[in-house]
Amino acid sequence: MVHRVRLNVLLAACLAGLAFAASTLAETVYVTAKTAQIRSGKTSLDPVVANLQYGQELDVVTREDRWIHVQTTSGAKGWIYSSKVSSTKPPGTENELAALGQRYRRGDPSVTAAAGARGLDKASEGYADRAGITQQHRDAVDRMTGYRILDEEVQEFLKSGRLGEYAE
Amino acid sequence: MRNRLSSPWFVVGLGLVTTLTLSGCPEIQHVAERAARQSGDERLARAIHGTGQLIGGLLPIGPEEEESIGQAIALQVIGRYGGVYGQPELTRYVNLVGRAVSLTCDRANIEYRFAVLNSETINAFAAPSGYIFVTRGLLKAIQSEAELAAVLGHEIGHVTQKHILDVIQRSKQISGVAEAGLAYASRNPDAFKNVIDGAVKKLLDEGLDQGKELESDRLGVVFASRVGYDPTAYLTFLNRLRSIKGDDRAFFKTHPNFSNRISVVQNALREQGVKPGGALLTERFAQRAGGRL
Repeated sequence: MVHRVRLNVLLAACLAGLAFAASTLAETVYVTAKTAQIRSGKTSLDPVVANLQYGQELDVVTREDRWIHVQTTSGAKGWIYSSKVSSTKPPGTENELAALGQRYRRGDPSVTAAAGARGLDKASEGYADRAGITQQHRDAVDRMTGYRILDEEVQEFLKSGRLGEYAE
Repeated sequence: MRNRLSSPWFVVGLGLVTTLTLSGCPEIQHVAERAARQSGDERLARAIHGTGQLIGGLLPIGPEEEESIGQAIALQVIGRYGGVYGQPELTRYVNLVGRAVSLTCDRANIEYRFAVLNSETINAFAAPSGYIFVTRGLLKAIQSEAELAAVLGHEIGHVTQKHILDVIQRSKQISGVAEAGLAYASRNPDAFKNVIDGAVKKLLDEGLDQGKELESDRLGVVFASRVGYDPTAYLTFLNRLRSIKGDDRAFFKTHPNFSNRISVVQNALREQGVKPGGALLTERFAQRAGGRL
């Protein structure tokens, strides 16, 4: 009886050890594309299972050709095109050190804060005044700053050129 | 004589300053500085003041600062290269190619914007925060979308690696503005102008370090190939430029010579395991860009 209990304890310990080893050996990748989805199959025509965010962590289940079968932390499983992930975490917008430096250096918050969703901010407007930049060139940078192309348009462009995940 | 560096005031003061400065409370730094001064310890007050400035100057440039710097440099690039070429469809096409490449670059979370400069010279530029320019002359020398993708990838590489910001942070000109570096510059428009003028001189007149150009060459083909473009297109393009530019001294003042660049790209393709093949999209380039130049 005692032997059986010991055996069970040993077996449980081995299973726990295996589970731990499996969890630590699991490959993790991070989403490096601005927008990405996981799909139910290995083609761009398969239905989207979940939309992913830049920097999101994914566990690799298996790799086949240029597609990777992954699982999100919430448990969703699907396929993602390999060029949309990386084994290293991409730099985030929330780079704490940079934000801290900016906060520290910015005595007057209005100096560098963007004047609006688009257009020159106060620092570059002040530069334009001092450097004698013409209104025409200010307008050009203003338009450039506000220039927007929707992610869906880029996806359509990739699709029509059979690029990225639409290549296969 | 008492050693003030070992005084409790100094130790507590420096600890306080370091902690509070790093937590972003310059007001409290001023309080500590004033307290040290009131205690009669002028040296400590100066140390607190200096330490805070030093920390502020050494910390990386933040996203809003980067946007300001990018816009200001963009103003100069547009001014010196004939303004923006007024072809909305061409601009849109260049933006689509550039955005496609940027989606899988190593810094995909910023907004990349592309403009065509109305200049016959063959050149391209990248300013911080994703302001990227190609000249009309450069587009004329390109023969496929894959070549354009690699060229834009090269410029995106300058942004992902923060090459201009690195120049600014290392600049003696800035450290000469004040000990606080950008701290002072961001509060003083004349100092900000000096910072930008120094960066523009480096970008447009002197050229970036050759190491930075070659690093961007390597990244350009990698980024373009991730999207599915044929990476060898960039080699074709560099070979064509070599035949066009010959030994143009003005061009090589700001860029490494082509033989060196071609060799670096070939090595990068080999090391990264990037195989030839992929899309060239020669016809799409001819349709959407060729007739508009």
